[in-house]
Amino acid sequence: MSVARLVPKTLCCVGFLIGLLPGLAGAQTGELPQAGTSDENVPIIDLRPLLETLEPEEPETSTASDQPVTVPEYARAATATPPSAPNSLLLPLVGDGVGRDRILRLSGEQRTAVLSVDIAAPDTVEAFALYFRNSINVLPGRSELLISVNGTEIAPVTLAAFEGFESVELPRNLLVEGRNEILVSVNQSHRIFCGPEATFQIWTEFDLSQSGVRLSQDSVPTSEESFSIALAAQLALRGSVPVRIAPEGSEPIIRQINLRLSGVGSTGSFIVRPESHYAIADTVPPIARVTVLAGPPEPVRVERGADGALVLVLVLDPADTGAFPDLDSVASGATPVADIGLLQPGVPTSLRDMKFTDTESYNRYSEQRLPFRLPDDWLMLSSAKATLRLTYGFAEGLPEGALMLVKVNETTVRLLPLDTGGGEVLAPLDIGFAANLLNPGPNEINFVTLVPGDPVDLPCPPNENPFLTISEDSTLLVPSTPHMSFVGLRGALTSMRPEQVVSTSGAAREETDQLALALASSLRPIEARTQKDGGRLSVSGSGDFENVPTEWLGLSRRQLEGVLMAATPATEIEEAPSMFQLLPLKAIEEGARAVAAGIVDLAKPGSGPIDSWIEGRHGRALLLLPDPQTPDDLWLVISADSDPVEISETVAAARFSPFGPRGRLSLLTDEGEWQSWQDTSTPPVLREPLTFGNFRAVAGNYASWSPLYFVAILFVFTVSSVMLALIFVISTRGKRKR
Amino acid sequence: MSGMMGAGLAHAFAVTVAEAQVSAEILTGPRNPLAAPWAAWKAAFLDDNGRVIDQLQQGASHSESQGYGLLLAALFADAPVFDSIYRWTEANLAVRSDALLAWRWLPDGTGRVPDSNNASDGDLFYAWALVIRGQRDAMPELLDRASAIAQALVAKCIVPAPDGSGRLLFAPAARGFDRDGSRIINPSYYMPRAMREVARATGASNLAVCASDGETIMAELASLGLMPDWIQIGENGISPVKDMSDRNGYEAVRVALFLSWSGNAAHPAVERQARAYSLAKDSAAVPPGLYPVVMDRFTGRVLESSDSVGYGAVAAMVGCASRSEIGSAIPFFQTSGQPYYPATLHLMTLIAQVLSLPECVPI
Repeated sequence: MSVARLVPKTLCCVGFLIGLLPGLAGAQTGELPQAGTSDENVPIIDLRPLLETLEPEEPETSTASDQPVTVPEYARAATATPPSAPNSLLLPLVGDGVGRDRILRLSGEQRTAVLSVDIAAPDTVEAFALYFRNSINVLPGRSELLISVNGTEIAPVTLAAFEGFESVELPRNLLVEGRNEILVSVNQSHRIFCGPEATFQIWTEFDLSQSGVRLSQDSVPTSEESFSIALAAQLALRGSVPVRIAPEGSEPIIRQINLRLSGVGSTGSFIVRPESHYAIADTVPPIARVTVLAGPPEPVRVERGADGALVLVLVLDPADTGAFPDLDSVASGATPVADIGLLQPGVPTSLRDMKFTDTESYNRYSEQRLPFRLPDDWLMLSSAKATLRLTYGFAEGLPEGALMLVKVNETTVRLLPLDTGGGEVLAPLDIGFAANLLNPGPNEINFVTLVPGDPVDLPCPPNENPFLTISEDSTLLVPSTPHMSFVGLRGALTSMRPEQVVSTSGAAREETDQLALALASSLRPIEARTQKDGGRLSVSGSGDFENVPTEWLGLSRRQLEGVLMAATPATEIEEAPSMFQLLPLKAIEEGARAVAAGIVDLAKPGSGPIDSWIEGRHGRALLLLPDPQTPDDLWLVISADSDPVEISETVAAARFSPFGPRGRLSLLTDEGEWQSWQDTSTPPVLREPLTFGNFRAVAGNYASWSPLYFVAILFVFTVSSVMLALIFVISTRGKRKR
Repeated sequence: MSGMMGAGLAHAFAVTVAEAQVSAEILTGPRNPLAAPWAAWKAAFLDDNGRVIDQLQQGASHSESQGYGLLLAALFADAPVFDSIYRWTEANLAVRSDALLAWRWLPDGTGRVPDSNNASDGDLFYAWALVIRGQRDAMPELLDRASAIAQALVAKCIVPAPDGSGRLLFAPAARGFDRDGSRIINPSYYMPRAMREVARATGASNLAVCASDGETIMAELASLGLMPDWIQIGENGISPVKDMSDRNGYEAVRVALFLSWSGNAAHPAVERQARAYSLAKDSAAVPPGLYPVVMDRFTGRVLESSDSVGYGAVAAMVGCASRSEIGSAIPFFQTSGQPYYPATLHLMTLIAQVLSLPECVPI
């Protein structure tokens, strides 16, 4: 009970005393009633000092009923300020090669990119803009941006946005309903220099987080078509889709939604972000989201949320097990993505058939890449030759030193001069290279062109013709091989489907779930690639290392943690050289070790023991094939500080890269490179019957895999043959000659 | 997969319509769906001493804000917050000679409680909170305090209607709302659910009678137009109050909310309000990003709008209450950009939705 609550009761007691002694105080003040004061001899006691000690201290208030009263009224009105951009919706431009920062960079003298945006109702577009900026090295007088919208070119724009992103307004009347294609081309010149180095220094960047069409949210109809477009914009700009759903038991529904949405928009990864129906408002409201409600089943509908987002409302009946509404009209699920070109071994295949389109080079440094895929069971370990029959031509009068490098999986196999004999298409040139440079699965041929400046210290002259043209009629012939393969994770990863991604339970459940969802959204099936029924990709977070079955690999949990947990900076101790080290003995010892390692490698090729291979390595994710008996059962483990979406995109992209994960274990380094460990104890497996026809090739592969074993086997055969021959000769001699 | 889906659905919708309608316990446990909004509300408007601050009223606190805060703490079973609000209120507003609270406390100046008049809605919510906590946690002292308030309300603020109808009116305060034989009422001071629950817990049955009479009066008002902020009832019936708003404004916005919360979403006043909001939206009478707050009682014309989403929350829930569709466009809760009053209405809207209109889940 507070003091304030005590005071009135105390005052009441005093009042009671006063009542018992009428006239005590009134005699002094003359204010109290005089009744009952007939006895004037009654002694007077002044209680005012006592009353004063009982005055309340807090709060300063009066309870007197004769004070003026106010009626409870409140000033509720506040100044209403409409949001600065209350309902502006951006549908961003999208295109290939755009990173998560939504920046597209075009480097070099001439580059082109194709962007697109889908619109439901072009007449509702309020603005259409492209944001760009340039490197300071770009010479404005000779640099321009060419834009065409749906095939109609607009006036060139001078490239001079050096202070930051600037916008160029594009004509809205060129937009059409549905897909709109925007072609952006840059012609750029260096202010001072000309040559391959200068090529890297001149660039234009497009900010696709701002570029696109803007329209009023209110003008966007609440239709399924609009929702699809808004969802694609949400994925492109935010990389996640909020799903409002009751948290308990929401996992299978979330998984279903994730699978359905994974076909929307571009091929990038995204996160389905479950949130409560009563979550606090985001600072930036979403463009689109999904809300799951309980109730009698009804068709999906699209509504506008209070925050302006287009909302796909799914009403699911909890009693109707297994029911999930038809979402085909808004999200049809993961449609297959196009594969890189396929190469059939043993048959000359044109570059055109291998989907090679980047035929012309306009830049003083350029790379024209030809990715292609060989069958998973193609294996060439011997020194057979592959042949690239290259038909090409280059401009006349290129400066001295101009050249082209032909690279196979980053190994240069030919250097071709481009400074003499130009101006015509040359006769086809056969470029032979070792077929064992190629791998089963993805490979890449890269044509690298370098054209020096002439002179190098002046801006390049305008160049309208390509420096180099590679004919699509060029062919590549790769020898066929018996169906053989190593046990490895690449094939299983390539065939993995979103529904085969599973999350492992553990302490880091939330992190693991996010990774699983992101992977499921990005591992879209590859066109014409058959799903493996037993395939499974288990994902695990950094807190669940104990769940990862590494016993088949011989890895300990400590080793796993050492690779994926935060790296401790190594302290390098520089030891003073000992006398022993100064002696030539050191060099002799190192030489002996190298010889021994070479012998071991001859006998057991590969990456060596996993203990020594993994020591000192650090990365963001590990992809494992734990049990060679179940080669389609993979595991992915990520470090604590990894971004699930980024990891997922990297894993998905690795399915098309010759530098992707291979072997039994592959580490994604902090630099984004895959480093793979191949089990030395497992020889390649022949996946067809051994016949007279394939014996030589099979033997060649085994001999190349382990020359020492091959020689040993041959030696045994030879000795056995000699012994048999001796036995035969001796046993068939005449008795007389013995 | 389908089996897994089914099991998941069953779990996901464990909170069914029926369950939510009958039990407020959903707000008290670890699964409280409004835990985040409640945390945000506390952080924005409650100080460490238990004072709920209304910045728009010169940083004042009042029996309404303290009553609302105490009710929220009781509903969310947030005992520490309940205790702090209760302590502060008892120390600073319980200064009248009766059990009611002085209606306003100002942070500055010598007279922090400028006058001793009360606000009957503040007293009502305060008593309701005491009843909820007292019953749930078996705290008789709180029930005693609630009873004292209820009896005082009945004695000082429940008065017979001068129109001879025999109805009881809920006067906005003990003093100051009778003019020339007429009685002024504020329809938004009626919270039928609170009045009935307090009456049931304390025996102050006239509160329940007053609630029913109030609903009847509001139905009559709804037949004429939207709910007014203030109205007076005299010998000759209902009429506007001179110098007081009879528009459908900041006060009246609560009427439909409280009726819906009380399980009376089909009340004509709710339907009328829903139609007015719908008309305002369809006719684009309010700029994007703003919400109608003050409307003409008879034409529904929007006279004033606000950027506080709390008012939009009330409108969305009222709109949903008049439809049969599942899901509503109640905005996400937020305290940034909206003062105490609309933010509190926002949170109350969410509570009302969870408890009384479960089909109106925000989308």
